[in-house]
Amino acid sequence: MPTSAPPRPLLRRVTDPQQSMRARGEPMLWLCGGALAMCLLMVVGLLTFVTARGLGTFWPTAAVQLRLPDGTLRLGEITRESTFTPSAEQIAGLGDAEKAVALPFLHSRDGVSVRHLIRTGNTGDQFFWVPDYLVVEQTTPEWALVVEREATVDRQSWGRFYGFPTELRIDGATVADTPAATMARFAVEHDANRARVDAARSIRKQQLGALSTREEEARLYARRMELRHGADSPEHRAALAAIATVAQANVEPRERLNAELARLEAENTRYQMRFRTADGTVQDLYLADIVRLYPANQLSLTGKLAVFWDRWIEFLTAEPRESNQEGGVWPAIFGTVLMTLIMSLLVVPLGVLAALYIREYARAGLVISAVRVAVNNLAGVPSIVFGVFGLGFFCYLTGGSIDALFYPERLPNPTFGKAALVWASLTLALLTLPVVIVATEEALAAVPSSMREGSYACGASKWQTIRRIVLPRAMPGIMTGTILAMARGAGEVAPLMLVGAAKWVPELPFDGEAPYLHPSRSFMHLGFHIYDLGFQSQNSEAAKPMVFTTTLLLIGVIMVLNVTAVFLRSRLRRRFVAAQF
Amino acid sequence: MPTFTGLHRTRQTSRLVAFSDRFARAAITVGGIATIVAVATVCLFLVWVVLPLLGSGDAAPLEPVARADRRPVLEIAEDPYRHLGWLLQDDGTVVAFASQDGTTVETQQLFTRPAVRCVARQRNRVLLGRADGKVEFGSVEFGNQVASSTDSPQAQALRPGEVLVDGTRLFERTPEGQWRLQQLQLRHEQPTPLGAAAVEHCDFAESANAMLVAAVTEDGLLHFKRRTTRHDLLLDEDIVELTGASMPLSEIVPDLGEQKPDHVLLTGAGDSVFLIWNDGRLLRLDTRDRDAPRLAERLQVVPAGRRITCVGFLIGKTTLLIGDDQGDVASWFCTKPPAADTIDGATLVRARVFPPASPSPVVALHASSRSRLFVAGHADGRLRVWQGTSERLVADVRLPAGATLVAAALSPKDDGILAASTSNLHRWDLHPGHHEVTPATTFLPVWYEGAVGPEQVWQSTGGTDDFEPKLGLWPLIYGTLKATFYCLLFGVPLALLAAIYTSEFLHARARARIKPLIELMASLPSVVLGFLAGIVFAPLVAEHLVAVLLAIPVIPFVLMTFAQLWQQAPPWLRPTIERLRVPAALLAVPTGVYVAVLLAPAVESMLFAGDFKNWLAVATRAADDPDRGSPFGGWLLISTPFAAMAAMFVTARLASGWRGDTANLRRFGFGTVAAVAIGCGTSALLSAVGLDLRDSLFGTFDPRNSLVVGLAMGFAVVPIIYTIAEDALSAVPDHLRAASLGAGATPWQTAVRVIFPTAMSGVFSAVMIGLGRAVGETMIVVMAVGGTPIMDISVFNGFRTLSANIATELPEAVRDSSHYRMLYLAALCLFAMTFVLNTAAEVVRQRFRRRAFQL
Repeated sequence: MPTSAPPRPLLRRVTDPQQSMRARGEPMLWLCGGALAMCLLMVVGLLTFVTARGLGTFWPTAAVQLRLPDGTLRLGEITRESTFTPSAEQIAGLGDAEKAVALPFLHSRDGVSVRHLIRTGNTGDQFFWVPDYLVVEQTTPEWALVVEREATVDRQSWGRFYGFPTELRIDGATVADTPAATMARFAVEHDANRARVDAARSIRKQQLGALSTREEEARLYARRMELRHGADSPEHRAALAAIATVAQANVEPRERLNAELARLEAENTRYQMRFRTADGTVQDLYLADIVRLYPANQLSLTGKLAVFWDRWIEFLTAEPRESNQEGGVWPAIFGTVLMTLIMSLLVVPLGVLAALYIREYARAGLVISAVRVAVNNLAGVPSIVFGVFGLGFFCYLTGGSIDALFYPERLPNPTFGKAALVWASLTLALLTLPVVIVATEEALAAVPSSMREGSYACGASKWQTIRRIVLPRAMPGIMTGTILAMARGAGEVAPLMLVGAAKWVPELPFDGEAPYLHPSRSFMHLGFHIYDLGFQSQNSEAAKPMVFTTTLLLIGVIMVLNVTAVFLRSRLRRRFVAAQF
Repeated sequence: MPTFTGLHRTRQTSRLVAFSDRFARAAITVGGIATIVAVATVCLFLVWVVLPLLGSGDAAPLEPVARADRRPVLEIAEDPYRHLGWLLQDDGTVVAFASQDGTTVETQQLFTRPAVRCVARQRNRVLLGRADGKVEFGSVEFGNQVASSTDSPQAQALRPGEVLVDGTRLFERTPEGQWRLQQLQLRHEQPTPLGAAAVEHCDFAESANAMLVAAVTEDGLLHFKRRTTRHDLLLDEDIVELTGASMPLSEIVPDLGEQKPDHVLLTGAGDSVFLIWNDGRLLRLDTRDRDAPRLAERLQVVPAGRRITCVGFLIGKTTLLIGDDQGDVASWFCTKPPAADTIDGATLVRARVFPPASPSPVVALHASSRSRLFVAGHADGRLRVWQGTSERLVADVRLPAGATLVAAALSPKDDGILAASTSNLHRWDLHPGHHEVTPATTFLPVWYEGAVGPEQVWQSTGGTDDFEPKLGLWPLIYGTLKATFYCLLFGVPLALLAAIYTSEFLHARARARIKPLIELMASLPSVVLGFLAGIVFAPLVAEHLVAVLLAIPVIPFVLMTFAQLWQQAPPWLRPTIERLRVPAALLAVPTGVYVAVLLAPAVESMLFAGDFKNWLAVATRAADDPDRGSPFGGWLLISTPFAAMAAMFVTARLASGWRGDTANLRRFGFGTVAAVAIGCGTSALLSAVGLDLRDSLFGTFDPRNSLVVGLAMGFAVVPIIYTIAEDALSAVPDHLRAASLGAGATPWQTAVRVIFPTAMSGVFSAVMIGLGRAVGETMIVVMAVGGTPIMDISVFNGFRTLSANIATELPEAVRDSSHYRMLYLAALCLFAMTFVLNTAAEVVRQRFRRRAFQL
């Protein structure tokens, strides 16, 4: 070092503001902070948005009646609105009466207009955009009713209905002729009508269904005998005779049930409610087709709450109707939960076994590090790849072999060789296996080796140590892993599109019919329901509210699972911190 | 036995304990290994499904059988079930034979010589050109009907799968137990006159509602006719009429002279007639106007010195096959290049050449009626089955030595080859395999029929029977990469900056709350994000497109402005407001959005001709359209970040000497002006040069575009990158931090120069894992883009990723078809891509761990 160099000053004060700014990096700090703020806004905004839209769906809104310049009336609910500037062509396309109303209106607003999407229902489920420059008068008539109805059997009409009640008729005779009296009488009669609808549905589905099942079973038995012993063998002939016997035995009950159905339906056709719609036509609805009805503009807060509550209950407990656009999502909730449960039953033992092997039994070496890399890798494999694997390996290969071995009589209709609950659960189990393995491994690693050594010192065998000392300590960690796996499995949709989820299934995969759990059935799933409603449904406008509520429900389920996991994890940490001292 | 302690074991381990220990060890080992094996199965199974794609087809010879007579053969064919075959011999007899043993089942006369001069056949239809100037349609086929068991006493005893020849009829018991009856049926229609002279060459094509006929007669006339059938009420019979042009060839081609062509062929669409001479000359006549065929082009289709020996069409009658005397088969089809100088804008090009095993003239060509396979028979007895698009040699078989090939055909179901030599009939069982797929067709451009040149296309299904599936994976891989790129462009900076702030500048208590909140976002199901992106986000972006684009530079700018104002706070206040930075930023971000929305209309009218989407759709506008707009705005949008960087550099050079309380503010102002100036200058320059981004980066606007997907997938990827990167940053030991701060570095300097480099490998692996997730993301892409598999880099256009393609197409794919296996290959590609990414991440992470341990 040259000695002639002047000594460095010991202290150097930063006086140059430019340098201080660059050193402190204030603008960059702001960029970082801004990024964090954006992330937070994204999460919170998304959750708030979904919550608001999801919760708002079932809140009853006012029924408004709009008078258009040509005198037509539109009655319905306003579902959303948007601001727009009508183009010159749009205005040129208006009729004279419309122009007379629209032009001064637009002039006063600088050409900017708000349009409302109004749901007018009645024939099918219809929606109209009505720009405000075409609204001559907007009223909320006192007796405007919002009617939610079920599709009639011939599917002539479905969806919402808006109208004014005029009379209630039994056997064609008027029994109530003022709106108030009609409503009162409706309240009296409605429940009995709906009970008959439910009874008819139960007869159709369960009792008549049971008869057909018996016939189908006899037919399958005959086919099995034919395959096993050859056509025209004594067994086959006996089985064929049995088919005839079953069919014979079914004739009488079937006739009885059909008669009962006819009676219920005849009874239901007696009760009708007469409505006047906004355009003045008179329409009769059967009470039996009406799911719910309320005078939207008369409801008090409690009345609204009651409708809101009622709709939520229906949403959570009923089956979907009107091609999934109305009704509930109970089968989807059930399917999601059942699939997730079966998946966790499969994945937890396997994952724990694998983790125990890797951590406690296998000798450290190249193989184990390779296995670790493989497991970590598997965690990153896209879920759709698992779906592809599941379809080929489980559905086609495994399921196909099971069909060929055990259900040859049903071929070519596949039993297990198609999308099914069990295959979906297995596929998702494979998908979530790394989550469980990694979590269990971490939990096992966190058990201090001093405890193991202590156990050995007391003379315990390896298995005893694992069972009595290691596993109990690692339990919360394993639980966390399980719950995280469940959360991941419940939210995965891409593989389910291939291996098990269906748009609509008539039967739950678990019911009162032996063998109770039907692993070969396909099932409904909340996530798939969102995809299907949002993107495959024919009337996307009518389906939209349902999608938001379903989304809210799914996010809710997954959030609860995750928060539980986070809570468990923090409790686990606290316990270990305590254990170290 | 002496022990270490000198004590002896007096108590035995309980047998139960010992047993359960051994049992547990065995069970855990087996279970554990089985689980891990199961994991490996995933990859192996995918490979197992994909492997047959590589396998070639093969043909197994069956015993040759003797022919009944040795007449020359014009045509040969087989029934779909491969029990019966027929030969059309030179003398007009049709010999139906049992395929199994070659016995003649029946002989019928289709025509007689010399009344008939030429024959054209397509599947089971034939057209006969007669010496009296008439043409006659007919058909040769095996009538195929379900019989009852009483039709033939012997047939009753058949077991499923067995075949019986009873007289001229063939009975077959199907596997379902029914009886199928087949019998040769010849049909003739009334001959219809074309002209006066004998018909020398003829061909026909079935168009949508009529039959088209092209023929050349002995007197040098070309006839191009449309056959119509009308019902005559008076006679109560169908009357067949031919309408259309009859012109002397010399009128269409003035310099032709007296030569008449050796082959006349008509395309399937009826828009061209090919006149071919055996010396290799080809004239293509444009027959779009049916009444006035015109010469479109003339070509020499074989090299000089070679002669054409055989011609034919591939399925669909669009691709012409020309076999020459050296054994080459060339496929030719019409393309419409932009610079074509023919009258119909099309030109016939040679797409491929299928070489022989050894030079030997092509004597037979026959195309499959269900795929693009064809068989080429050579004079040396070789039969080569080719795929016309993938150029795969599906089978290469040869006749026994000494046999001379006279005719060859493929079975209707592509499951057999049938050939006739002068004395024998030869059959092969053909397994064509996945002939339309080769590694080259999967990953390289393929010249599909009618295309101007080789291209990469994924189009798995089509409307018509002769549709050819185009299974090129590149468009899908390209889409995947595009989605990943746009997603990371948005996600990586956001996640990393947020992670740095969280780990280095956030109070521990705030961090404990904020981090789980963002982690919560990671657990959001992608179907929810996809749904929101498709239903809520896409329309929003479409409506406020300019505002969204503006927000990208405006939000950072607003944050910078806030930072400058913050900087002006008196020093004593700073410790107090330090914690308020994030809340203030929470305010700044919406402010930025608001400013962007406010500015959007002005910017749109100034830079983008008033309407951004119209401005984008430049391809639809004429060059001199005043609404076309200038490319300036696009360049400005793109150049903003670079201009900002350049401005920083300039400011550091020019304005570093400024002093005073407001020096920073002034410098910021100067930098802003400089950035705008640089951006405008560059953009003006680039637009003046004539470069326009609207052909590439800014394509036509599609509401379901990369921008939306990039943002939505950013949502999915940000929390993952954020969490892992934050963990890596937090894992840097505190003594490094303390040392850096103690040495006088500011927290920012510490973060950027000490902490970030130390955690670099962890951060890298975070980005890799984020990348892996982006590559495989399915639902967001399915729901937010749907997407056509196109290859362009435009931000405003859609795409289709591997994963989305699998999700939409696999449920409909036929099991074990080529399409099905290609989708498995797509899954395998995804698997490989994520495998590489994750392994890279894992390796780097292990290095990071080792290094962190050393620290």
